[in-house]
Amino acid sequence: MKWNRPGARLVIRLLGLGTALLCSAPQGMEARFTYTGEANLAQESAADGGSHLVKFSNRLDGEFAAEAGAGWKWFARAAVSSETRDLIEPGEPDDSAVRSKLSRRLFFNDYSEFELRELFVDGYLNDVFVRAGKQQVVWGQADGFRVLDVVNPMNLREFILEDSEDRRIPTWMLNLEVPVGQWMAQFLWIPDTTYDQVPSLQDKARFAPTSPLFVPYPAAPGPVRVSPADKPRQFFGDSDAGARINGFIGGWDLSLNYFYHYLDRPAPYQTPSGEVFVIAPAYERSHLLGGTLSTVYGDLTLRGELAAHSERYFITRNATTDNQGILSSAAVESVLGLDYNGFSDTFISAQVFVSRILDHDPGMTVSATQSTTSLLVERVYLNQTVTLGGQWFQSLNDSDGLLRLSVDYRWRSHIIFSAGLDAFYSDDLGLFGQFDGRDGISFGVSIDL
Amino acid sequence: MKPVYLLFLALLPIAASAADDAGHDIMQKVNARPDGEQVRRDFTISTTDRRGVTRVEKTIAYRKYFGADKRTVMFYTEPTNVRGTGFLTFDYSAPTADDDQWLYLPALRKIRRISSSNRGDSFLGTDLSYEEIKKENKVEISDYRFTLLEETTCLERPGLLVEAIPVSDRIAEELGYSKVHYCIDPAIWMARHVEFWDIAGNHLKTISIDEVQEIDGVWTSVDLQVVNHKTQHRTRLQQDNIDYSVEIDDQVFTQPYLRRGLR
Repeated sequence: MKWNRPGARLVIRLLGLGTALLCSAPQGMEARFTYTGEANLAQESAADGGSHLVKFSNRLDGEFAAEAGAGWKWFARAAVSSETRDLIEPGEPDDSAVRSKLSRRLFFNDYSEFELRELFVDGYLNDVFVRAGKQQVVWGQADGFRVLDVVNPMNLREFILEDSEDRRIPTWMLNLEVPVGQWMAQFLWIPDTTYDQVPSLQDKARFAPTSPLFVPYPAAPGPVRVSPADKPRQFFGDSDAGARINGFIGGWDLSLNYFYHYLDRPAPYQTPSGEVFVIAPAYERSHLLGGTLSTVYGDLTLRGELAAHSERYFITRNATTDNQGILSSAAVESVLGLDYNGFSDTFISAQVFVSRILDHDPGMTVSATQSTTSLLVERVYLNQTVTLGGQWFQSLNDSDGLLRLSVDYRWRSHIIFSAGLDAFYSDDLGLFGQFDGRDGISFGVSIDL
Repeated sequence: MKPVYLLFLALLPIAASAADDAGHDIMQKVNARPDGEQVRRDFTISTTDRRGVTRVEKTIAYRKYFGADKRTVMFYTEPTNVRGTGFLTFDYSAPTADDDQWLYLPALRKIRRISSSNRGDSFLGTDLSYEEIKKENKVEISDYRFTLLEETTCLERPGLLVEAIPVSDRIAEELGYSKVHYCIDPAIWMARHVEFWDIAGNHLKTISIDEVQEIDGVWTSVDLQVVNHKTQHRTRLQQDNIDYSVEIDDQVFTQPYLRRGLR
């Protein structure tokens, strides 16, 4: 497989840019760069011929930190990336559909892009920690899926295969942390109206969802038109806001969370318009009240997380003019995790995710109760220079799942080689089964420059 | 049996008991060695595998006493691929109380609560265990029975050789050792040379403290080396920028600070 020219040119440019920035960093400013290269061998979908494809991707991450005076600091992180096959987000994705102006990426062409991943200033006002700017805030303790990890929207261009760090879309917000006795209170104000980026089937994106759990289908075959989502745009009126208080009491880590926000995925309202099936997505507000807990018993760590939503919106098969194909209900999501450290150099973590629609209607395409389990096993060898990992997700509703295997080798302090396998199974149109046939093998290298 | 032998046999337990008491007293003195109410320092951790490949990591660490309890937090600064990784420990003085430990993983941006039952495991790829990192050249007295073996030399200085045997099989399993020999420098009550044997009785590893400095009135190990005789893997732990007089805010030893990391 030839390395295409745009990809090769970009790598050379990235390395040149990194070197130039390193040399030009002003005194007192810290600059760090990491290059990541990856080759993917993947199976194309049957619709695309069922053959195999090879994709090379390159990425340069840069981190910059500087003193802002009076103990405050600036921090910025940006990434330039390219890939040799335009399959994940074909063409130049329309970021304006889901992202605010200041959170959009810059596309050089169909193959390469620049994204400002973080830019903030932070410091202390007496005891209050203040961080203002584009950032990520992570709530909750679950690995793999979000239950309370709802503050930042996600880019689901590769479903959940990308690292969570890369999946989260950083947003502009004000983040305050205030000590209250033994507790820490956090307050968030997020005027950034950026939401989940879900790849589109119309764009032939490799991980576009097709499951009726997420995509409405007309009762009879016919033309479908998807209107642009009615995206909130007001700076103040459409802001999200959240608060959390957490502490360590009697051996328990506890937190209580509240979030008033727009749900990150629009409700896909449907309107039969003549012979055309029109989908007109709209973003809806919801309140979230939740909490986390964790504690240790000998070799075991118990983790729990709960999120209660005042409103969630679900596709119904019984579409009427009144409900426009969408029914709403309060819903509860939870995860219970158990980590085991009893074997030397081995980490085992099992999780059960359960979500429940409190006012379920038989017409909904989603079951009243959805359950997914995950099992993670990691073992390190040779003084932690080699890490073998396996992660298995299994839907208990649709009997579909995802198996992930990985190996990392820390060859030198600054150089890590990695390889991985991702395999979806079951052809059910469930959460994982919808991507059956999207299996892949990857080989990568990460170099701290 | 002649009466003189009977007398010798009768005195043997008394002599052994005296050696036990002496060993115990020496280790009490080691543990009583002042180590500062608080300290801030930089660590350079170099690990070398049997092929001679050396990997280097750097950290910033803070430690502070809260009454008799001790809290420690450590942040990795280099290389970039581990930068921001943080490790927070609450070490309780009560022998029956399990420590609390948290690990912050920047790749996940999440804090992982970890069990302290793994105290004999390798600390983040080094040849030191979690227990040894936490204790900082001191020992959990209740884990061992100590016996003074002989007066000797430790790294060419007069020393006292103390043998430590785990008090139970369970403790031996937890720590990963069947026997430890501490060579104590009585001038500063610090173990300068320590030999470890694994559960099967095989010679496992050697710790030697090659450089000690008195900083702000506190004797401090600034250059420590470990050799694992089974794997031929080596670890060198160097300290610098050591400051025992610095004021450290209590908030440094909290999860929000662990998450904020080096900021």
